[in-house]
Amino acid sequence: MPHHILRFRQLTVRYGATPALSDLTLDIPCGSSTAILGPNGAGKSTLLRAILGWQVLAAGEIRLGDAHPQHALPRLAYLPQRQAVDWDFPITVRGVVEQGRYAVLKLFSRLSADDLRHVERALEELGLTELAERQIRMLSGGQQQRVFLARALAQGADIFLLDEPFAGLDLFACEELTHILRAWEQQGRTVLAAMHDLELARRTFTHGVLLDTTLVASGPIADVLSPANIDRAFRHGHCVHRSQLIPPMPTEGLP
Amino acid sequence: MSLHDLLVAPFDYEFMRRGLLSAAVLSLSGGLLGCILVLRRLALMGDALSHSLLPGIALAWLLFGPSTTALFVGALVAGLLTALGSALLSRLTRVKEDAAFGSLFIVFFGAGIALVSKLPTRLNLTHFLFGNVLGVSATDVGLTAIISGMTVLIFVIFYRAILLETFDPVFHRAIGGHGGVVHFGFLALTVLNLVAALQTMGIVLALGLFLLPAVSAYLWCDHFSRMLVLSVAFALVCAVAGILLSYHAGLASGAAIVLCLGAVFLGSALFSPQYGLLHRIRQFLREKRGVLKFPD
Amino acid sequence: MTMKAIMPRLFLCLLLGGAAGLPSLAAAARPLRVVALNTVLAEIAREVGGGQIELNGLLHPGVDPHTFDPSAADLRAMVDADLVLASGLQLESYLERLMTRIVPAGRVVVVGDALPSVLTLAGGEKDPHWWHSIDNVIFAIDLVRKELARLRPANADAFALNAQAYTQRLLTLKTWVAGEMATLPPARRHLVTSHDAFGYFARDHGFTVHAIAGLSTDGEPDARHLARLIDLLRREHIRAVFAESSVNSALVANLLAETHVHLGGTLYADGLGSANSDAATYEAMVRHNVRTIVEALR
Repeated sequence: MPHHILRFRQLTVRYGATPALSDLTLDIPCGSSTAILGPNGAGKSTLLRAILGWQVLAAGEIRLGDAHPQHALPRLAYLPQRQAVDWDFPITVRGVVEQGRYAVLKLFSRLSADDLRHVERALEELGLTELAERQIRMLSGGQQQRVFLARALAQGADIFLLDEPFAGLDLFACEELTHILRAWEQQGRTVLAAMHDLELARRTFTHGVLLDTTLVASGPIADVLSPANIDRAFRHGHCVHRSQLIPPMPTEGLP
Repeated sequence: MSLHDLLVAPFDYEFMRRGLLSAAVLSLSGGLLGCILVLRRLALMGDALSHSLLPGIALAWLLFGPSTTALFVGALVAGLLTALGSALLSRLTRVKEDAAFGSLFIVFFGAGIALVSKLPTRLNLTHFLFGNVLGVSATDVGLTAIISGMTVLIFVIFYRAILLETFDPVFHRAIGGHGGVVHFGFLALTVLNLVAALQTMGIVLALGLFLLPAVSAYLWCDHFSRMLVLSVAFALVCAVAGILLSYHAGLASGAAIVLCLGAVFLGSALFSPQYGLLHRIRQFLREKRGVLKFPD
Repeated sequence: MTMKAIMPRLFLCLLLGGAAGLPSLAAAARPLRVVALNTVLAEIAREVGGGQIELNGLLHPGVDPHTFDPSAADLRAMVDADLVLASGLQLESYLERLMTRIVPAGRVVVVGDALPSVLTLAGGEKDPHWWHSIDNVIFAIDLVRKELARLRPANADAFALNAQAYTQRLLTLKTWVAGEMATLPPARRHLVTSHDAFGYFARDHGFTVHAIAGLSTDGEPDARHLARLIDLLRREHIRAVFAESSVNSALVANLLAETHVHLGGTLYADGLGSANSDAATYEAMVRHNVRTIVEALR
């Protein structure tokens, strides 16, 4: 895996007159799993979209190696906040995961044996092999989430941009996802997840970035989620944040 | 009546052969494009589009008289403006695509009526726009073959982009796809094929071919590629069956084909093993019985 | 009463009487407003009424009367008219709406309702193309003359003279047509057209009509009917088929391609032609149609 770093320098993005991100300077090491945290409107989703090249930058730059990451799209996998997908579409789990390979296929080539291997491995890794021939509506919320993660894997991406991946998942599915993301970090994949649940972030990720349109803190997650930092980021009011200070739940024994 | 009399003899007539050929040719593109229309919830677009063509025909008549080429081009321009205009509106404003399309087509239609009332001769222009499958000429067949063939080719070459843009436009964009091109391209192809279909086959058959086979196929398939193929297959079979029916039973040919398509649709809605009504009823009854087994 | 008292009262009476008489004087002076819903009726009205009427022919030449729908301006003209001439027999789809809701009763004269022998087809439908029989037109001339005379008794004589002259010309025309028809043997008298408009003509001259569509241009042809028509053309060795001026002729073109029959020409089926065509008047139209048919089938 290339040892490049995602660099942000004085990144500024505006929606009309309102700043979404102001003068953000940050380095994200590859192979890390980082939670992007902050109150509503802090710029979390905007940051992910900027990496994809979907935001006009008012100032600053983003670099992956020596170019903007949008020039290395096959390496980026994006899972948006709300899957605006038609669940009644005639497609199976396998069909969706195969789409991951389209990111790297040339116009006239068909899916090769190698491509199919990628697909099988992705299905296996996310425990979807038995569900592979099901039409996508016949899946639970957590299973549907895993289908899109598998697609990202099949793509051969090494940088995963997840926007609120835990939204709408029940407790069991949340634990499954935590387990998957922790395993990915062990395997050296780079994960950036924008999320609002500080407790889940503490349990799942090793690194954190706390935003409030500007950078409040970045680094190991325990340091980032210090009371002082949380106060600074959520100074406009975050009714639950103090409860995030209770120590994390024990993780042994959970799947 | 022998099988030969039933199936082959009717095609001794050239008009029957030509009618079948044009219906078959447009079954190809209609079956394919219909699938996208159904999946993108644009099913009513065909009907709306046929109304929006009026100002284009009226202007063409005004400028060039009863030239079929001019009328075709006029209709095409009006249809493209409506379709592409509403796609633009929905991308640039808060108005969604169906409302944008609905609004634009009615404005165009109104403009068309106003134009027609100002024409020097108040001819019934729909006679000259909407054709009849029995009145298809050799050039008509040639033209529709080219348009339909081009459509099939585009589907084959750009199958993956079409699938992605229809299913998950965000993902398509994230892997570097040009969603706008695919969407506008699809709309342009639909308008082109629909106008050709309207002119050669008339409104009932054109709208029927571009919708019914796709909806029927949708009820049977869990794979996009199979849905496309099945849709075309349904369209072809019903084209043949419908024309034969109109011959033996003395029915208007376009309507006969649509009746066959309708029968296939009804059959699919009832009997599809996964998605049909009977399956649902059986499932429901089984569940009820299951509950009753545990009377606690 | 004294003279002094009577005079102003007498003067007042004369004034009032004169004022009352003035509108009717004006009415007698202004032309009758006549609206015709058909080009043939328009010509009849023009010939019989002459300068005494102000004619408004709503249907222009080339417009299909089966599908014509009057605009707001047309309806206004009909409401303002003194007389509206219609064919009836389902030719004007809007007629009932017109007579019950728009125009006061008695102002619409429906020629079809008064004709002595209306052609009825197998399904019970009545053929509305009454003008293809010259006898029908002569009857209509008289009907219009009576109506105009009823509305303007002062000009009744003028109307009668006009009607007489016009009828005479049509009788001459009728003789000419008979002469032309005599040159065509009965076996050749098959008329193949886009829609079934020539029923009355066929009845008058012993023709059989084979139409692609039915009585209305709106009808949808079916494959079996078309196939039988092709068989007939081949079997009877029919020489020619005829297109129509106001209908799309794609189906006729297909018949031609398949049977190697000639296109005999274009007939004026649903009314007169435009001013610069060779069917601008009724007589011209009849001559054109008859010549075309006879020459093509001979």
